Amino acid sequence: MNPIIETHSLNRRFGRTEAVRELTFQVPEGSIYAFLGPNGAGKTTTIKMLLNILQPTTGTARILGVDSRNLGPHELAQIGYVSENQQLPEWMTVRQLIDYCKPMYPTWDDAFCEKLLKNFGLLPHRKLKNLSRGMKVKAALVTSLAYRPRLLVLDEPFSGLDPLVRDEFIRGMLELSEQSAWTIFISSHDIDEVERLADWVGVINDGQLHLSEPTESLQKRFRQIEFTVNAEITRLPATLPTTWLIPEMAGQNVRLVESQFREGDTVNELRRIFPGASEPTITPLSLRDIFLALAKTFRFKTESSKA
Amino acid sequence: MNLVLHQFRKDILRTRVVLALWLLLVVLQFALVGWTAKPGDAVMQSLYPMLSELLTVFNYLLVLVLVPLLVHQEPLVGTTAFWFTRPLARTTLLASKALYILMLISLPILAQSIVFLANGVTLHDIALAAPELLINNLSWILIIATLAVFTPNFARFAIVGAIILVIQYLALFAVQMVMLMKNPQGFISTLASLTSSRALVVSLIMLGFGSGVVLLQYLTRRFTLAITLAITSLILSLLVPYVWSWDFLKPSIQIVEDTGFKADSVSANLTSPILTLDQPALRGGTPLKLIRGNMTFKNKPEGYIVQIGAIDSVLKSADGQKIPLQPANGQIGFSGNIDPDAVELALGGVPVLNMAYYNSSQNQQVLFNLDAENYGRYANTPLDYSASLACTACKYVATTELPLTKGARFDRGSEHLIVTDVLNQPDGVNLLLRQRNVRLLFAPRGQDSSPYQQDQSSVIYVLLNKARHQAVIQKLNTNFNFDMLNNGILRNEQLRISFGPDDNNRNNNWLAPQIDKAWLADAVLVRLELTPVATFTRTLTISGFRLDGKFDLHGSRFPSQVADLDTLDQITLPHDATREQVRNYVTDILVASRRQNSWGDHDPQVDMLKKVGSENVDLLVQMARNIHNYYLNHAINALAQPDHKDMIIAALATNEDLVDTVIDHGWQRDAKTILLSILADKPLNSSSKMAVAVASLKDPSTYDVLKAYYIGNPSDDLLKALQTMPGFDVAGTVDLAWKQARISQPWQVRQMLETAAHFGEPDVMEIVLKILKSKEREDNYSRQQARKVLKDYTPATGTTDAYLIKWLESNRANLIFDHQTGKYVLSSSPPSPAPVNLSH
Repeated sequence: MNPIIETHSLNRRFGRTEAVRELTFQVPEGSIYAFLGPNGAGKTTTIKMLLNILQPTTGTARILGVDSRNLGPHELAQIGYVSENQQLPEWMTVRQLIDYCKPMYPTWDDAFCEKLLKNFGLLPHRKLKNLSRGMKVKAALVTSLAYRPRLLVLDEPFSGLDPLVRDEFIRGMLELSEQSAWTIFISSHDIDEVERLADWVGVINDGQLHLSEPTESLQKRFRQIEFTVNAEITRLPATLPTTWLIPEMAGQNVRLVESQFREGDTVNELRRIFPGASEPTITPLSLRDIFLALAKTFRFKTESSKA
Repeated sequence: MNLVLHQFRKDILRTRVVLALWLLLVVLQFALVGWTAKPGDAVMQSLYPMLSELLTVFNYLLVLVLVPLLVHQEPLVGTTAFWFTRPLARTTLLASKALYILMLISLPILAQSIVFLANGVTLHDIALAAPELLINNLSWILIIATLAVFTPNFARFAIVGAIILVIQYLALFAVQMVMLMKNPQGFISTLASLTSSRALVVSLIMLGFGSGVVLLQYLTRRFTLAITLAITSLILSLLVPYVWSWDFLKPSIQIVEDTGFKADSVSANLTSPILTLDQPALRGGTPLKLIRGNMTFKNKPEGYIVQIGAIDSVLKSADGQKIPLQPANGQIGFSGNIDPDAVELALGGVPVLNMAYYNSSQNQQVLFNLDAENYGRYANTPLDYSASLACTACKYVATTELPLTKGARFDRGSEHLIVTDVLNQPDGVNLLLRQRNVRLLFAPRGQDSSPYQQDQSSVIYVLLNKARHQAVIQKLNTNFNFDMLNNGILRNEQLRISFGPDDNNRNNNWLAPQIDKAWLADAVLVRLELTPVATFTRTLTISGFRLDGKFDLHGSRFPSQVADLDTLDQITLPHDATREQVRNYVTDILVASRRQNSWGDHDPQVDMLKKVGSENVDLLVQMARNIHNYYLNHAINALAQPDHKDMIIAALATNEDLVDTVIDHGWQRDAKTILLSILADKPLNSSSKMAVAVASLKDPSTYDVLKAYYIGNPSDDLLKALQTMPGFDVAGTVDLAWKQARISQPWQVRQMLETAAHFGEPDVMEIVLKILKSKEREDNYSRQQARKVLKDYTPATGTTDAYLIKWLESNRANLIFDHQTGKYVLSSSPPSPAPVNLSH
């Protein structure tokens, strides 16, 4: 794997608050990496450290092979960035924004830019301040794609967009990714939006990274397991395997999520702990269900540790 | 470089509306400075400076909007700015902003330089003005930029700016309080050049730290370090105006070599009684006493003026103990009238006909301040006083002679003086001049070294008539000196110089010639500038110095000058003299008498003047117009005939001294109307002799005017005359005059004290007690009056003030006025205290 983003023990404190803790992950070049986590998990802080908007308290991050602290115009000319909070020069028209950005990028592709404008339905003479939120994001995207960046960083790009616009946006991204070999690093708290895009997933919560792996392997190792137990078992045992997430019991029915599913091993383990249990129903999980299972587990752990 | 220009163009595009407004203001502002107002158009001349100030304020406000707008295009704080993730190098961004700031600075400087050139400022002076303009403009811009680089948008900028202003105000207040408590006198008195030096240091701090902060933020975004620098500069800029002591802008005195002045032989003397003035306590502590004396210089060549720049006084008690003094910072003395001898010397000996020669060379000098406690302790004891005086000898130098024609001009470097109009008056002439100059902070001699930045005597104008060997000086204090348009450096002034009789000071009119067309035809305008010729220090030592001034001073303030008989002997009246010859004869007599300050009945001048005969009385009356001249008036009185009556009565309005002639010739009834009109219209400027003359008519129709006149100008002569007038309410008039005096000056109370006692005014004893208790040395004469009143109008018998005070305090409540005896008596008779042996 040739990582285009690589972090090692990345930390960032704001006063007493540890916003990001010991973050170590890699983003392979050419991947679409979904950086997931609930609100306040540390996604935006991580991205700002990656792009040298914020400096890490400790640890390092390398983008395009360069330390993020030394990120200069040369590297930034290969990176596209669109954020929900980015302040655009709203006094400009779409055309003025394009004309302003163009001289900064040696690889600017006018034809591609015009195509994007057309595809996104942007009117060049409209001032940015008069555009809707979705159109502004599209305008920002045009100025971040027109030079065909090696890396596109999207920080909560769907936030506040209506479903129709989101759908258009995602379809547009998919079409473009098929045309160009680029890396997309997209952060979101809403898994539905990125499920169709992502081939790699990283999950962060409370500043800590809980997983970072290809979507395919993730979906292979997560399964929902349902079965019934004997009448004499009235409650779940105090200790269960740590890979079993959010185990629940209703009457004699038990349901859990196995995060390290292996065909024979998982069933054997189940039978050892619950002798006489029925044949389990094993269902693959969507990325959304995996994320929810993880999120619930994080919350449970956080509440337990506070208690 | 392309990206820098690209960024610069974007900034221009973004700020184009405000920038266009700013450019318009710059053009207007400097067009206005370059504009030349029509002389005499007072409304426009008043309007344009106001407009100029308004434009300057607008300019500052626009810069206040423009700079944040520029900086906030690419905010340097926060994490959401668009440019953070764009390939825009920090140096590129900084360079583009610097280019913009350069435009903001250079355009006004360029415009100003063009205006300077148009106003005749030399390239040398423009080069000197450039750094001053640069510092002024850049420091303001950097202050705003410093604030802008710490804020993400204009709203935050405004809020943070307002908060800093409040903090700065509070800090300033705190610093001022500390400084005031520490050294109140030093805090209040600061030399102008030191203030300029301090202001420049503050500007340089703003420049240095402001640049540092802006560079740091643009190149590193190291917020903590940048904010530390900004706070440091704020603290320094607050402290520097109070603690910086190096006056590097102090103007140096440029000495012009002059062999006529030998400093070695000159010695300093105190030649007048010491005057004491109360200075209020500056912070609820002990009030200060300011000690002042008249300083003269012995062996000073005539025509030279010695000014005292600084005085370092030391005062020691008899046992050698040094008495703590506070320096007279910023309280250096003042010179009174312009020295006529100095003017005459500059004019090559031509006498100045409208200057009072006998009343010159006042040089009131503040010697030192000391606190009232020490003053009380040492007031009556002999002390040793010594002072080191830093002196500058000056003389007037005629720098130009201009014909009295429109367009005549004087050019000296960047300085230009142009006669814009010559306005003939019935009894004089007004000259309108336009003066252009520059006032430069970085001038080699300092910005205040130019003579006309000083007091009114530094530059004076004289009309010189070489053919008649006569000169007249401008009327002082009546100049219309209008600061037409200036922007701090370029000064464009309209001067109105008036020549003619001075109604406010008749002593200055002792021999003003008739400034008519014939006289003006031979006259030129001479500009005299006070020019330093030497600097030296003198030490003054006085043993037996007393703070109350009761010690022998060497020399008189005004050495006696009697009639110059040798010169007078040479003046003769031609046989069958024409009117012009008579005029010249009279003029010569008066010119020969110009330095006299002692006049006597045996002086030959009256007899000499009488030789002109009664046929020339009208000429004498004309020449005596508006002036006090002992000889002229006596000659008129002696020569006046009944057929001169109407002419002399008519002249009373311009020469009140002629009232003697009116009285001596019994013309009071004929002069009644004009005398009453003078008394009613100008009660403060008319002579009581006029009132006495009217009173002698005993005409009831004049009573109201006389009553009103007495209330405002009580005098014994008039009172005596009023007492002889049938049916006149003397007591009521005196009562009103006393009440008026009580709310007027102390000398007016003193003047009326005895009269008030004579008429039994009830509060007289209260005033007497107050005067006796006063410690002021100036009240000596009042105390004498008070003692006399007690002696003449009460049963008090003691002689010392202590006794009299004690007696009065014991008996004041029981004193009532007895109209039978005309004295205050005790209503019951408490025993008088035994005389106490107290030294007065």
